[in-house]
Amino acid sequence: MEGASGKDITIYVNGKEVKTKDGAILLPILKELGIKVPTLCYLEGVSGAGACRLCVVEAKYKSWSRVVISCLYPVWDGVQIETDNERVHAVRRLVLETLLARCPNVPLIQRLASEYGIKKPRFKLENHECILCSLCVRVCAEVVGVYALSMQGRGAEKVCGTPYLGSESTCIGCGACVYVCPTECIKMEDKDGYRTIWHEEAGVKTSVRRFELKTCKACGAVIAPKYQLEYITKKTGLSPDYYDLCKTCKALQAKGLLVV
Amino acid sequence: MAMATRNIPLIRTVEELEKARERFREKYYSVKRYISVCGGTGCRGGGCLAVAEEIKNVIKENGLENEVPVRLTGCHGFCERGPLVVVYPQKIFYQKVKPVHARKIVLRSTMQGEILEELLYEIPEERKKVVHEEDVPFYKHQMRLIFGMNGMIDPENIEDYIALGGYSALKKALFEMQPEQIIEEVKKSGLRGRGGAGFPTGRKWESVRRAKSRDGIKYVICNADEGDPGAFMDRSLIEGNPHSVLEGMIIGAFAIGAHQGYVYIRREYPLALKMITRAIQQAREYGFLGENILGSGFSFDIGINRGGGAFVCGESSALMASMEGKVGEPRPKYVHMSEKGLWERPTCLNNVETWANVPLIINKGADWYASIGTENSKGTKIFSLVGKVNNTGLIEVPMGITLRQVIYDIGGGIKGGRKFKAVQTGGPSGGVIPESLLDLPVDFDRLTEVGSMMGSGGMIVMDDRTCMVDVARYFVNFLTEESCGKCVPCREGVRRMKEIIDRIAEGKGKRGDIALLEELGSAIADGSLCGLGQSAPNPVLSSIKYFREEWEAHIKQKKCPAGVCKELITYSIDPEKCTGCMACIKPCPEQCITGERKKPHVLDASKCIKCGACFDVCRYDAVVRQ
Repeated sequence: MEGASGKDITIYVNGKEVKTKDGAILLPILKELGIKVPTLCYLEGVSGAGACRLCVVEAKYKSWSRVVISCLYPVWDGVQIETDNERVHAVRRLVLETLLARCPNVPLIQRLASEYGIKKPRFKLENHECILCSLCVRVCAEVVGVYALSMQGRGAEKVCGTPYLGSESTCIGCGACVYVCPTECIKMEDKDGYRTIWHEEAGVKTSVRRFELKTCKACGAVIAPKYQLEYITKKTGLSPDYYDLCKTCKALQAKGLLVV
Repeated sequence: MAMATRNIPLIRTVEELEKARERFREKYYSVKRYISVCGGTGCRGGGCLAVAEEIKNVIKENGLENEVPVRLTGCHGFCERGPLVVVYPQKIFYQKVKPVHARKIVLRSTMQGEILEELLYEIPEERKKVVHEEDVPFYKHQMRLIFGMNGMIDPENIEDYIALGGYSALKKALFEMQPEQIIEEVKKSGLRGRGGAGFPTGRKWESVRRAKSRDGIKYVICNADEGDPGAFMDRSLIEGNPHSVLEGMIIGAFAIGAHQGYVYIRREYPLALKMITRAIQQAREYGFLGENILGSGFSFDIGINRGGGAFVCGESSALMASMEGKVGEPRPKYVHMSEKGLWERPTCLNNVETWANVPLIINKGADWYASIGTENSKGTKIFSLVGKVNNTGLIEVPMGITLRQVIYDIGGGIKGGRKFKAVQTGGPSGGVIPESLLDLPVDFDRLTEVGSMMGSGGMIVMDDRTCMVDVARYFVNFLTEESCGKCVPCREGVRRMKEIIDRIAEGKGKRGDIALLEELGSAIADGSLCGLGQSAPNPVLSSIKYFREEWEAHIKQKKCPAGVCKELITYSIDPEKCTGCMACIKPCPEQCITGERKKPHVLDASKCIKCGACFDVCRYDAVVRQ
């Protein structure tokens, strides 16, 4: 492969001819064709990690063949893709069986595993909930832009969270990590004027962080964490009092129905 | 305000280089005699610095400073016999030298040409003493093209390197060759990457040269993050001959069009770090790095990056992530580093030894280089020969030499006359090779064919007291810890292999465990992100392939035939053989052996922790391990 040219090319997916562009990423092509490819660490809008290896397919050309991940694989003229052969399924089963052994109580993993015929892993069961997909890290860095989370340690000891898994971090409390976590091990709770976000596995809480919530000056409704609003006003150049009112009260004020 | 002044380099043109070379030759090599002391890490551990110090003292006391220079060189390779001292010009080879020998070496051997019998190497089988380095079997069967200069030059002195012909390949490349010609020459030489995968170096250079960079910037990197257990050749090259690596990098940079290079080196290699730092400083001072090198118009400089100790950072994309200040994790390389590498610029990364090969190819030509080795593996390869072999150390051999020649002719056979069992090549990514394949020629493709790999050149020899399950367990344990943990197959899969091997070694192995290991191994190899994970199953799969009975003995009979796996062995004392010498009583840390002098002793198995101390001391084979 000598770099993507963007020229019109033909690839073969499960024997079917498909017209596309040189260097186009495979996964969206497969989705458009209606081919079901399981993913865990893939999310539109953030860069690909290639971490979960669940979206593997086999790429072939003449006598050459290789298992590749469709979420990052740039296609080229003439490549033949097989999405569901035994070699591909062997890798997916490895991923799902080991993840199920790691996280036996996570419904998403249970469901995916059973789709591949895995009921009970052949390994010692553990009690994790985080699959280390790094989606939270990537969303925080690439979409929110605050770099509050990172992957830490390596090998079997690898963990994900705020620096040293403590309460100190640049986190603004936006909760984006909570929304993207596929196994729901990042939790969030808004209560009594405060938001708490934490990472929880088997009842053990780490990276716990608490944020004061800002309320509407007029009606007292909760708007968002103070830090988050400060971050937005600073980044966009809005006036610091821009978020003093909630959406509803702002609309009323604009119509002249509310005077603060 | 004063303008920042740039130091004017000492050598600015080709003519100045040749004049300087003459001057340095005169300065260092017009003496009749000199003494070279090995200053490699192994010999330093053996006390060579004290030896060199004492030799210098004796020289000073006798007013011989101008007559007998002492050179503290890089590693000579024969670490087993260090500290090593060579007396020139006769090249009298002394081994296991201590400071007390300094006086004799200077006054009698160097000044009067006397040969000191007691310090010579003796060939064990023949009981024959050997005088010259090249006659020692360990060296005789080697081909030391890259490593040869290590024993001669002072790595801290660029003038020494220049005197012996250093930077002449650079001169040739800059003034007599076009970049494309250099690449063509490297391609024709057949040089393949010495870091592990064996990718053709010339092809890599070509794609970096062709790759478009958004701002014209390209990089070259020297990968000195050597991390395989038991491998230390890159370290010794940098410690002993850092300028050969720099010269290769400058030529490579010129060929691909890079103006900035980096050496990524392990922080745990303090001596190598010191030597490369010094070499870069000196290369700048003398004009081989910086602006307008030797008046060629080509500018290039090299910086140093120190690795933090993660094995995975020897993988190219993880190495570059680490250099960029990110977590040292690899990324998928569907877009090659030669197109988007360091800071997304085309990057040419080669291993230390690969770079060191370059000046040789430029100087002597591709045809000469390609005449050495096998069809698809050219030149020589440096191996660290370790384990249960008589002559451990660093060796450089032509590609295609057989394992038997390496282990028996160079390595001097198995320690203690025991039986050879297997050799592990390629470190944690490689595999074990059994006795039946001892006549296998060592090259990239043949090693891969038998389920191992060249890797960076580790060679661990094992005897019949080595348990193959235990060896696989060791490597899988290493990989479980050193996996970066990014992708699931490597992070989760390899530790599940460890879980299974642990239970087999503990006597809890189940029917089907071997098949499960094979199933996991093949899926991990297919599914992992980087080379670490893709090759991680090799040590296990090759072990099962060649030593299946031994694995089965652990599972079915719950026995460890080599007597290594603690949970599967018991110690007892054979009353027939025990003479009651009491030798085993003292070393037992648990005091579980009791008995009176001249009466058979008794071992209380319930207290025994199976350390084997009694087994090792018994001279009557009375301690039985089952």
